[in-house]
Amino acid sequence: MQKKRIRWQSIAPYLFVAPFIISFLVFSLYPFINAVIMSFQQVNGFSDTQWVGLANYRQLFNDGDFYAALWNVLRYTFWTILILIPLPMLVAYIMNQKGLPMKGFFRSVYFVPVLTSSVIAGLIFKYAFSSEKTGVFNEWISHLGIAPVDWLNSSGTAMFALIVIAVWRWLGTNMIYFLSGLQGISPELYESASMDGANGFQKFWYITIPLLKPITIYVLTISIMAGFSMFNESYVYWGAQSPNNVGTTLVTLIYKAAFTNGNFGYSCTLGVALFAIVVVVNIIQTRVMGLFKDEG
Amino acid sequence: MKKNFGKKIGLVLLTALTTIGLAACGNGGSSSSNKTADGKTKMTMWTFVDAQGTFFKNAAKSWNKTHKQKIDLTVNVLPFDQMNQKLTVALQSGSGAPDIADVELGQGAIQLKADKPAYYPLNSALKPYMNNLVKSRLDNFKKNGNYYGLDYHVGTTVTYYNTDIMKAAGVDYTKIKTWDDYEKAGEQVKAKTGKWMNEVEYSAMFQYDAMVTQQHADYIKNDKATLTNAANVRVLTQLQNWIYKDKIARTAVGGSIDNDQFFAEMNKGNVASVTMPSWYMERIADHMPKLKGKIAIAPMPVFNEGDYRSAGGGGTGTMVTNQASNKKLAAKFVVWAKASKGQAVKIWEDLGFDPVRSDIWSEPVMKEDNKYTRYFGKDIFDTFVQLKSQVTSTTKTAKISPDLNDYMLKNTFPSTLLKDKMTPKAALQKANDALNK
Repeated sequence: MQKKRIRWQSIAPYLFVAPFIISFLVFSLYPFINAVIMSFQQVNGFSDTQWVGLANYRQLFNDGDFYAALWNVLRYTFWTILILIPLPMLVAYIMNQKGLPMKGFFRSVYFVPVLTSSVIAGLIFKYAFSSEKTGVFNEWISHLGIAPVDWLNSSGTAMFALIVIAVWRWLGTNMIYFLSGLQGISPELYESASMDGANGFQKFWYITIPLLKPITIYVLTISIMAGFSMFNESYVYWGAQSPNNVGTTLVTLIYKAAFTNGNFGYSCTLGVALFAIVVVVNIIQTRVMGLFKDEG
Repeated sequence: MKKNFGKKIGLVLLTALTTIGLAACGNGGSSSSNKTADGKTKMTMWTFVDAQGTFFKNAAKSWNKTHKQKIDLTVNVLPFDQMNQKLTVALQSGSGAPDIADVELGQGAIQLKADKPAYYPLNSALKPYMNNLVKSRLDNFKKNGNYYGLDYHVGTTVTYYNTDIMKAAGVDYTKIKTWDDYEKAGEQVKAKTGKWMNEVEYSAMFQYDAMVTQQHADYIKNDKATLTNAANVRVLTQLQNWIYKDKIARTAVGGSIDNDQFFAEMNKGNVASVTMPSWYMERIADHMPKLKGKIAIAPMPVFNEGDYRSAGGGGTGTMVTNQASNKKLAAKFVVWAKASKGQAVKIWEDLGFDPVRSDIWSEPVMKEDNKYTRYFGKDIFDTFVQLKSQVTSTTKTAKISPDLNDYMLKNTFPSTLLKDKMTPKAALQKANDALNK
């Protein structure tokens, strides 16, 4: 009789990833599937649910707030990407220069905003964007002879206020990503380029940018996700209701449907819609950037 | 062999850790026994105001001195949003909720939207006190004939005048009886001092509510919006005129009268008056130290004769959840903690609220020295007592309430008050159509 031996060697890897897999199944996949199910239901407590078919989705397509929120997050994502990729790349490039004095100090300065809570930062920016002439930003523009602006109550300036806080906050993080990418580029490339007579700009353009592509794709992907799911800053600025929806985001609507309206089914519908939108955008983005294509 | 053994140990540990980790998640809510070793019934309470938590802790101590069934109360104070999210989720999922919870009126509307609210009715516990309680405050938490919460306060709405500004402008605020008088006084204030008579909220609606309900009117009937009635149009027109026609007011700094930026504005002496519920005394006393002794409390001006000179505003009900271990005892305790005579006095002394038990309002104990009598003078309740029978509220707990609130703050106020883009009538018509769709 031969005892069947357990082959520990082959099982071990699965065991090591098990905690992650289990927590993913329990805390991510299960709620996700449930959310999809609930998006077809009217939920009044877990014991009191009703199938309503596509009613929630019909409501979604007729919901003016949804389109307003979608337009807001599209603009927000567009601007954050437009600023938060080139700018941190440039900052990282400068930070990576040999012989830059106080490198450590500057790197920390750029990174510190990331460590503050977005709610606290939001509050401070809210006061800075006060409509009063004593507000920080109104004070600044008063030196240019511009009258006080009611920043948070009109569409363009409200978006500006959201972008400012995003740039302030995420510049440092993205800089770190690019910095780590830069450190992986071999200095020999730059040396040989110098020998061939390339100037600083040419080196940046022909060596740095192409070799940072993987990092750029990563930053772009997380920026799209972060942009579409932005909530904290908007909530601190306006709470759940912003005048004429100037600051409403998709997550604001999800939050509002669930917690100020008690409509969990519709909340899940919005969540599923957000998921679908982000997936589609990311697929387009990866296609355009040529990711997942066979190398060579 | 030895190597294998080490791996087996590793596997066992890993499995154990995972199991423990998962088990810990499922074990949050109810405790195994609901009595302490010395026989007290364990209860937990969630609230979002520190002082209210302390108030209930002390109430439990007093209760234990005089009652047979003793209570061991644990109070958790959580931030407002977080508490409501947790509570909503706990009630929806059927486990993890506290025995007792403080629920703010606006949140209460959401919690009571369900056909079968996840709370225990306080009716029988309220019975002995019923005659002495201000009824409109109970109605805020009423559903299908059941009272699900008992408020801390009545929120008697009054007009607070900055007496320095009034003097400088030569206005006798006691002579302001109607909103017309108020507007004229405002013009005088603006002309003589350059200060604003008022600042108008657009991200909250306390003053709007008070001015609607004082006309014996409402904006919801049978769960339908009735925003187009004359009373609502009158109020919104009045508020818009103050800003854009008479220019005696501007939109409130920070959107409401109840936020830090506005407190600073008022503290600096830039605003001559505000109309707010009684609990605004706390905001004034705590955030506007410069105005000590300079704020007068007077009944609200009216539109027409016969209008109420006050209203009820805001509110937080203490509710017993249907997950409470001993619902009956919890209900009795909650009601006692607010409606018994000694406790009602404590609500004034400790929290600075006008208690829902109003027969004590005219008792001498209400004039005793405390933070508020020192700030506003000893006769605060002399004004409140006159207004006692005039405290009504707009409907806040209908199914449509959260939507109506949302729509007004998002669309109607921004397009009529924040900007002068629509006439009040058109804006209210639009809101009404959208809500009754």
